[in-house]
Amino acid sequence: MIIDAINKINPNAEVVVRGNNIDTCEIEWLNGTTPISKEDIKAMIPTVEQELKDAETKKINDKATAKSKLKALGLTDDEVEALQG
Amino acid sequence: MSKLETNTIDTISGSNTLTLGSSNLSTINMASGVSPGTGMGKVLQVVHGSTSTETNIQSTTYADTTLSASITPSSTSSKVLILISQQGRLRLFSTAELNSEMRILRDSTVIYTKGVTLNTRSGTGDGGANDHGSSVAIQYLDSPNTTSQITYKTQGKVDTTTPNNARVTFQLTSSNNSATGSSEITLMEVSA
Repeated sequence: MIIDAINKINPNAEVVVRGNNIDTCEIEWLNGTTPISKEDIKAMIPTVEQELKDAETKKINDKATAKSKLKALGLTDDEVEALQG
Repeated sequence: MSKLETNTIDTISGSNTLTLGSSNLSTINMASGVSPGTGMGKVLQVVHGSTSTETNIQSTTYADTTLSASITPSSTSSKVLILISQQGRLRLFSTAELNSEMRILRDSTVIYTKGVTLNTRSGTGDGGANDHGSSVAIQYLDSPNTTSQITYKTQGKVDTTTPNNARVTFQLTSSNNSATGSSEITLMEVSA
């Protein structure tokens, strides 16, 4: 999550994050990447969390939509499940 | 206290067992630098290290994974058998192939490098990421040629961070589809 927040601020960042607590983690900036403050990263985390939740919700919804469309074409539940793996 | 000087101790005729001491014998010491010879015990000491610190490396430059252990060999002729089991996940947000490398260092000297290749599995991770999780096992026999304390550690990197923030994560602490858990390193000093 921390590194996702960093990428949101700087998509080209080359960075190492050791630990998953923003307050205690060690961040190493590499190959000339301009450091970002922990405060700025912390502020971006809720945005990233929401985007991940939205992406997960979209994935679930897309799966349900695909299933109903396939059933409308005449496939059985077992056939749809087989397709979805 | 008496001192016995000889160059051979053998069993008596008809016996194939040589016993030193009895039930009250608890310790046999050898002079500093003496190594067990052929047929004697070979493993002189074992050191273990582990880490569960999640480490994300999004860089083409090698960086520490937080896995390390230190040992002080008792003889310059000793070898050190390094056993590593490291949890890792490669992640990218495209269908391109991603390669990662791990290496072992003795202090600041690189002694072993191992390549790891991602087999793309579309959309298995958060936000449609392609993930490949696995436990990387490495065995390596080192000849450090020292009696000073030495530290072994692992480092990792990815061959590219593009497109879209490709990275490798060691000791992942949470995921739906990837290897998680701690990584372990065991060092065994083996006499020559």
